[in-house]
Amino acid sequence: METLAYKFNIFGWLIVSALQVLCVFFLWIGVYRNAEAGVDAVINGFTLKEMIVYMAFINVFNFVTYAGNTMYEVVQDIQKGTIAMSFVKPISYRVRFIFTTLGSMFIKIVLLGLPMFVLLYVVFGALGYIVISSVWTFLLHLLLFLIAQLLAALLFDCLEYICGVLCFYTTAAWGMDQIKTTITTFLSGTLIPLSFFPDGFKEALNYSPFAGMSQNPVLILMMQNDWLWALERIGLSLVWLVALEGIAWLISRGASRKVTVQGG
Amino acid sequence: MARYIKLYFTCIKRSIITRLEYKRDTFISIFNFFLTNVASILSIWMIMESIPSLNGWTMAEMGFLYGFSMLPVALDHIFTDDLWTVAYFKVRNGDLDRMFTKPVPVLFQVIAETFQLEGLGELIVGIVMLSVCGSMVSVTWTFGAVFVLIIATLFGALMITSFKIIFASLAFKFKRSGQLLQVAYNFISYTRYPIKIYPAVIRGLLTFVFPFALIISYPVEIFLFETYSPYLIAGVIVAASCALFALSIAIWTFLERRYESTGS
Amino acid sequence: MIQIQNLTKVFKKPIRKEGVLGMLKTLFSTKYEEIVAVNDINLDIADGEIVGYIGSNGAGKSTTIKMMCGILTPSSGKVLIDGVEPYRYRRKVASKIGVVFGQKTQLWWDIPLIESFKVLKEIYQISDADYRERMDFLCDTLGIRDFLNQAVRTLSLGQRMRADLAAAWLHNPSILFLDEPTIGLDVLVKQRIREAIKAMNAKYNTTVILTTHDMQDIEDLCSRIVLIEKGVIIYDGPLAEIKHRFGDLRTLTVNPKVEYVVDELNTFGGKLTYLQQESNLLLKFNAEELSMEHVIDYVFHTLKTADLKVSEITIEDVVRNILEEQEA
Repeated sequence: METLAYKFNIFGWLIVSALQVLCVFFLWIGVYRNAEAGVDAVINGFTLKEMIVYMAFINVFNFVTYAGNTMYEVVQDIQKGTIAMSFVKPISYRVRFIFTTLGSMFIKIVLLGLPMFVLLYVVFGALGYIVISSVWTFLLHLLLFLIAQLLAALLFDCLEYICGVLCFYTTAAWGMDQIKTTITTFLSGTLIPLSFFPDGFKEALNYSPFAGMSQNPVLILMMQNDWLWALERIGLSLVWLVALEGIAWLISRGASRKVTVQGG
Repeated sequence: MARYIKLYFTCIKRSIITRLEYKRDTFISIFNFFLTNVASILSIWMIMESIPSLNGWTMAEMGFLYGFSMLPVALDHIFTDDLWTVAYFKVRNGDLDRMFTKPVPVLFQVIAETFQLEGLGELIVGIVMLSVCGSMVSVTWTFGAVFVLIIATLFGALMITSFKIIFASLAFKFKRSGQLLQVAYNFISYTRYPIKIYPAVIRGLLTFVFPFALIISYPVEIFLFETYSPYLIAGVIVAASCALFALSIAIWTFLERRYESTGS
Repeated sequence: MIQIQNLTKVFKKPIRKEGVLGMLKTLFSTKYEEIVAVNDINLDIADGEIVGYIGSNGAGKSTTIKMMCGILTPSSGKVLIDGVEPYRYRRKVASKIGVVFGQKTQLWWDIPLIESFKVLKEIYQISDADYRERMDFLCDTLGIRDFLNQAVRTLSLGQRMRADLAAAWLHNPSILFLDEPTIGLDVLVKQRIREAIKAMNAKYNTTVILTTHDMQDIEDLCSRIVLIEKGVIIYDGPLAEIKHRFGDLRTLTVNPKVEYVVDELNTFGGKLTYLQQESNLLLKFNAEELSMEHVIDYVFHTLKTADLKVSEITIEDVVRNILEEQEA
């Protein structure tokens, strides 16, 4: 039963998502056709080819980044009432989730991320959508991408954890989950790249943790900017990660106080 | 029949009591709905800003299209929101066990479980968008067009519900189908762009496979360009949605027998 | 009237391989391992009986009960509730049965208890007169009147369990399935629940099928017990018989204050066995063969224990003894 479910979920999701990504491609082709310079236009720093590559990669890697189930697990613990016990050791509770998430991320990379990555690289390479001018630059960016991708997963997991613990103050876990998804897909550049946002917002969002969750790893991989830019983004993600983990720690402490008062 | 109507109202009353009990949750839910729509509208707006016009459509016309699409979505939202939880976790957690031991059809119990008051807000916002954007462009409010609007709202909601039933019932066999339902549901968002920007394949996909174009794109073109005969479109909508609904009930009934409660 | 004929349930479990490569293989393999949860069970339960359905965790209790309620379909064999197979005709059987799963409430979490009852009244189409009459009776026997207007989530576990029982009994089912109805409750609440079950069984002649780990539940309630282990029924009959079969087994839990080596302790000629459990020492013996007095004397004077607990036979002991007996 379980494997069947597992197979079905992976293959079914794969087919429907592929159709959806196809819709996204053609939506952008339609958009570029309407640009003044036609399909050769550069809109907000993206040529049509780059936009297609961007959309393909961001959809694949989001699947890897959003690998964990942390929020669901935390909410389950809250509903079952076992959270009080877990909060006795908040750090080991948190660390356990990080490892679980990294584990499922690793599985998803092997099962889907890596094959899709290779496939997309070959296809887009053959189509001339991706051009590798220097192997060394490519390898350097690949390495930086891997680091950025790891940070993306950690950032997202931390957000999941925070949202999960926030459900301690509300029973609308479902709504919280939806809000989390809406905000991350919109502000991380999954729906449209952040460079489409109005001036001011664009800059602010580029410095937000959301950019590090989806857009930045993909841009690093696409070598849109040089490695210094990539390094700067990675540093920023690192700072955000520390800050978010701090917030996570603070709110779990707050929630654990509430548990003791209520008696679980 | 009378029995089920009475039972439905009893259940709805229960659902509304719950909603009013949790004011914070209701707020989260409203905020979520608001956020989702703002994110999609802003995305459309930002894309529109980057090009002169999309196949000749103005932002006001895009707004009209968006408002129109909100009506069936909102209506479905109000009445059948619990199908999501079936697809995501109620089957997996064994939460449906209690429904299977009651002398009332399970699908009825699922539908009667929630009455999303927030969906009413969505409906109102949709109507407002439709009237405001409609007054900004030259919309022809003929009798036929209004007739299509009503048919598209009512039967469009039925079509969306049918899709949700089909994908949610897959969970009976595969334990969960939430992500799959989500991607299938997302196809609605591609009908929020003029269908003419897509190539024939995608148009076909949105007309025959995930036929949300039938209930959104074509009716809107009647308003804006008087392209099709309103009665023809209305007939197609009624036929397609009723057929899909019948299919969805058949699939649900068939797969419901496969439900196996989890656990030892 | 419940008839169970050659009932078998086999779960197919994929053979999962370890590691990431293993998961990749799992994705494309079609190999399953079969787990027999319930193996060729036969059982007849008459109207009005209270049957204790007993076994260790994972023995197949819940699987059987779920098949009897109609939420699981057997792999082979059948269950007949008044001649009807519940998993085929769910809705038909549903009005005849009531279900309480100890871990999971059947009630709506967020609304006052009374509102849940009102919904159930509509679902089961209970007439106003019946509803009033039964509510009165259930409120008195279960003592739930005081918290009828409280939301279910605010109830204590004991209150919730009583409410769940009332909800399951509201439509006057002819069969009631109780899965661990006293789990995690304190002694007084357990007592109250047992009395209520007895009273309701007497008044409505309801057949009750009960799973539990609590020996007291069985002694107080069940005229008959059915023991299941690894999917097979290993005993079906009255409780008294089984107790006599193995004698009056007792367990003493003590905490010796002196250093000791288990192998060097007095076994009273092999009539007593020792078991170490953390800092405690467990002494198991048959009180019919070895007098309690001697044992207690020994643990106080030689082992210098400060504390002592006497417990009667547990379900696990019964199961172990029967299995040993069958092997011998």
